[in-house]
Amino acid sequence: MGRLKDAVNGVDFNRFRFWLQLAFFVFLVYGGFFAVELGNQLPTFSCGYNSEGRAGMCYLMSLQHQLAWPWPKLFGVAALTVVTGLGVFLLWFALLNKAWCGFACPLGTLQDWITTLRRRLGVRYSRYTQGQFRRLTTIKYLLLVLALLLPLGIGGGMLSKDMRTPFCDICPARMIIPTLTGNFSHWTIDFSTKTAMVMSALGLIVTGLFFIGAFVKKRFFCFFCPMSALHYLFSRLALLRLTKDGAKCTRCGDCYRVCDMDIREIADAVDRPQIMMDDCTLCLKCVASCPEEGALKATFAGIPIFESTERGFIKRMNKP
Amino acid sequence: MNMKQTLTAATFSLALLLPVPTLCADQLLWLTDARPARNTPVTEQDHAAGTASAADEVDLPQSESKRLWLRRGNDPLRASYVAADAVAGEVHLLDRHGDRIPLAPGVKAIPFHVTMTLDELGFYNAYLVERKVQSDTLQVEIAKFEVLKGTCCKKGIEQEQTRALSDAEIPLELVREHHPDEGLMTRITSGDEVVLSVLRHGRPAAGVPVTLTTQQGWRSIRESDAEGRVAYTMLRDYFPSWHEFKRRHRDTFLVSASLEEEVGGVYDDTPHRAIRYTTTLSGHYYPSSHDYRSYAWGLGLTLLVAAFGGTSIYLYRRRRVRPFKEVRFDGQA
Repeated sequence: MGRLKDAVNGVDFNRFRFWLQLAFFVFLVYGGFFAVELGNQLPTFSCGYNSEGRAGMCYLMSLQHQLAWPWPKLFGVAALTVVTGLGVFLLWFALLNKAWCGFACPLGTLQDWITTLRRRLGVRYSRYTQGQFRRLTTIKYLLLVLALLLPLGIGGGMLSKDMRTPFCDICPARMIIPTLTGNFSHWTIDFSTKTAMVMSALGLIVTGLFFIGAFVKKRFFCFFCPMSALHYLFSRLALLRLTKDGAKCTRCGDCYRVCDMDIREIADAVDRPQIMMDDCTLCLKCVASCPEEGALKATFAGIPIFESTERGFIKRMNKP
Repeated sequence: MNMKQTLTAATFSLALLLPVPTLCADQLLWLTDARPARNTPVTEQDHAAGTASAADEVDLPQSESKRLWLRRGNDPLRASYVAADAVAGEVHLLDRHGDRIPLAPGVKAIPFHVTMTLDELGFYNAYLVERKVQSDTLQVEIAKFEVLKGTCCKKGIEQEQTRALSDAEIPLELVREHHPDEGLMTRITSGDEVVLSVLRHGRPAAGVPVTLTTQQGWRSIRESDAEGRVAYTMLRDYFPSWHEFKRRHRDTFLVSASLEEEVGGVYDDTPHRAIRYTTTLSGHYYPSSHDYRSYAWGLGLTLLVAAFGGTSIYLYRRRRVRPFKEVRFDGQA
């Protein structure tokens, strides 16, 4: 058992993460071709517009569809469907917590690959200042509120049905993920109504910004992702967790330097064990880069599954 | 007025003077899922929603319960809804297992209609067969409608569920061939090729004239080939101004075929010396996405944003690069 633990803690984490991300990417984007169907409540961007290839559907899409039902239906018996959907989403989410973002999300994986490309081209990356960070971090909550309220307005007859899935309309996954299976139909502006025109144009603008942003800023889009905000609301229910033992932390700052999301608290906070912040993608790079024995740990149902060790740190640092 | 105009006017006047039943005999009988208008005005919300008017709605594809109405007329736009007491035929539903389920007409509404509950996803056929003897000819009118219970959410749809059905007991039938990629939410759009088969008791019938009429009145008559097939390309006949365009605008097409046989007999104690079969199939078609979607604008906008964003970031970074400046510390200070 001890040897297994040592092997896990000393793993070549970047390589392990690369292969796991690739496996999730292929599974979620192309799994549908192999008759994989995980339902419509996945807590990650397994885009519903990828109708043939997807192995399941992003919960945000089905939630927005459900909230756009006419109010008498939504607040009637059909409310059970919404509650059931949320329950299934929570069951999936409880398994991996925000690691759905750090390991499974196809859009996140694409951003990591764009980051790799940037690094190989020798272009330096950007970071937000703490002031920018504090201001920008609220955007995902705003987007989540809009993604829930606008469909409700449609159900109440106040808004155009062309805004039935407002976040999906502007989500770059709508353009990018179906493209990976040969469906290019979303790279268009829909001129059929003014609302459709504005929303489809916004989607394409966001997609343009996605590529540019991901090239200079690690995990650029995750910072604004409403799925990340939704995850954080329920993160206390999840089994997989990130914990920190402040007494063992020397505040060397390695964890902050490797953090794709620029979360300063991971290095600074030493007074609370539950260190996971709302922007965290639970990529566990902080654990892999920490040289202090047991200072950072990933636990599943309270059982440590990956923790920082001096030996693991040295092994990873000495890797050519 | 020349001779041709005089003859046309005389023919038209004569047609108006003909008794109504004679006119009705040439009018096609067909089934549709578009409910009768309820004099509901089109609202701003209807337009914003991109839907047809509330007065022209059909049951949702995913709905378990579907309704069909009966119309008489050759013009899909103006054909009248048939009153319940004017229908003598019976309606049945054919499912993909080959079961024929009799459908009882609704008793409350004045226009004839039937309601059915569909348990499984996929295509079903509804048939109404009416027989009556007129002018020594047994008129057999077969109105058919393809009913679809669809969904956009379910994956792994079996090919069997999207198969076009036919009933070998129906004397003359039009079957729309389904596209190999046709799913449970596929729509026919302007520009699509619609291929139909004419079947006589389930076997292909060659040389049968088939007429397709669109909602705007365009009509084309073609003969079925040796395999009983006939193909049409749905034309584009929806040209609203931009602010009135509705991508879910639905037009109806009506296909009909007739066949007469010199076969004598007795039907309902009335002798006849010939049988005339008339079969109809209606459906809907929508504007093509090419009418309202633009790749050029979409890709152009994305590239513009990417180019502008990339250039801005590059210039921003260049501006913040400070030239090397040597700083010397005075060791004696």
